[in-house]
Amino acid sequence: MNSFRKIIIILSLIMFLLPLVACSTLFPPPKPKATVTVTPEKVELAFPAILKVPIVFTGTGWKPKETVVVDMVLPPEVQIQGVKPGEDVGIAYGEADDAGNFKGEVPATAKLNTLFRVGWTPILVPDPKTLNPIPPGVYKIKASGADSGAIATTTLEFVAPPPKK
Amino acid sequence: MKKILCGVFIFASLFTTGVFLGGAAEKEVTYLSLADYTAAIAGLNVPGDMGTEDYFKDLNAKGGVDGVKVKFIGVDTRYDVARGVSAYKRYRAEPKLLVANAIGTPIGKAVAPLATKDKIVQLVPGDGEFQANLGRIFVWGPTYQDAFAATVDWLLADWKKKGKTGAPKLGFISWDSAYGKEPLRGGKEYAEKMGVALAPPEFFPPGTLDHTVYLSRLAKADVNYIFVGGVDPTPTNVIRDAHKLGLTKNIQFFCDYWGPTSLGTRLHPEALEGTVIVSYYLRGDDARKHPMANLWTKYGRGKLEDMNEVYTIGMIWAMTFEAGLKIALKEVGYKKLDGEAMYQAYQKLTGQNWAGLQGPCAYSPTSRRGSWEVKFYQVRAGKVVSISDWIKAPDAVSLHKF
Repeated sequence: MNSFRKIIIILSLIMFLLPLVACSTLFPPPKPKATVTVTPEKVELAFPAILKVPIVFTGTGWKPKETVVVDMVLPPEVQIQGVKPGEDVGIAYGEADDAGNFKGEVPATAKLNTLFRVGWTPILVPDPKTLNPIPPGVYKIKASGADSGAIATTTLEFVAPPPKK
Repeated sequence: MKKILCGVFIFASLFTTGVFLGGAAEKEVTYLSLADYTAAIAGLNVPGDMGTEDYFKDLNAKGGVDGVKVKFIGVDTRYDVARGVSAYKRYRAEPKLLVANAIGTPIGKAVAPLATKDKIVQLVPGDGEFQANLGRIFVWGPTYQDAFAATVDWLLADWKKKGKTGAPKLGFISWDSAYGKEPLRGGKEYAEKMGVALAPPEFFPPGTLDHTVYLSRLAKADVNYIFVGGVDPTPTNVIRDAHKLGLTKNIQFFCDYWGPTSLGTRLHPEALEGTVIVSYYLRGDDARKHPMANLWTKYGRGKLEDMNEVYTIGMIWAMTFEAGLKIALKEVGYKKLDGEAMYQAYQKLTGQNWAGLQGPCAYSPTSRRGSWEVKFYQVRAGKVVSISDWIKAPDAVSLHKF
């Protein structure tokens, strides 16, 4: 009786542990140390001047030739059209070169749609009356490798333009 | 005691085999649309995806494809490449994601390497480069350069019909973007081959309000015809400006697939009068009177006369998916169904007819063109009316080095 109980308990434990052991294979091996930086680190939310300010992300340590996606993490109070609550919003991307370095610039459409949350007129041009810049502050930036799954973070600060005299 | 222990063992076994973890879930596959619902090309993209969504609703209501339902995911990228790439990365792990439709040429080009690595099928509007370099990326219809070449043939016939001598001169104006430049990558070579002189092309940023500067340069170049690119209402607005300049009196204007739909013809019917549109799908009343347009009213989209004809393109995407899924399920079954199986299936769709909404499917192991045929339409009294049968477009892709 005792040995039967032991066998059943051991078997049960094995059955419970099996999924956990199997799941451990889901955790990928250590990733290369990926980095991301942004230039400039501080951007003035001035329109249309921002369209002429290149906001460029660069990074190292990525898997060669992989696509690196740069997302901005949105605080819960910041809502952006087309982005579901809790989702990050893509603002740039780039492809890593053979040495694992990548570069990606924020395109004008992302500046309009995301940083200035612009609406579009019925004839489908950006409507300057709807410019609604995101609140100034420090935003977390998350770069992730599409192949390696590596993630690197940095911050990007947006500041309000000086008041008009 | 023995019974309790046996019970524990059975429970543990069921836990392990996943019976309690949703093992009996409904059979489902995923279709991802990287769309633009609120920005520059929303005017066409919204009705397009309505067509896709409605067709899938209808299909699922009938039990799906051999019991497999289709999950439609539409993401509003706002025609923003960075958002498009990010959205693809977010949804690429969706269970049984088989097809991603990248609506917008720049997004299509940016997502292509990722979709290729993921071994799924990707759809793009009209890029010839995906025909030139065969892979997993499929074009909706004939490529942009093929349609441009068909237009060159049309204008040569028109030139002859009008009894003109010498070589006609063609102007080209479009968005300053990958989409805007695509028709000339092979189209330019075709025009030269056919003896049509091309004026230096004019490109303007999407969202431009006034196109008179660009049009004036083309007028100065003494062109007889002008091919206008851009997604409606952009081409409508370009021709509106040409009308203001008096250019529509002596110059014949053409538009590509995204030229005036009901959106544009309602805005500026007078300016658009006479404009010729090259299209790979049914336009105007041809589309609205098609029996499949009934889905528009069935799913509460409004009156049939308000149906933007791009709605039918959305149905074609869904019909293509359905036909591909049928083949893939037959070949590998649901369990083994993946992007690779769908990719193989899409290459076997040659000759399938999407209820006549578009020419016969031309997908094959050597073709990524959705079809070869185009039809010509003309704006007459504010309506888009058919002026030709289906015509096979020339192969302009092969003339260009990609």
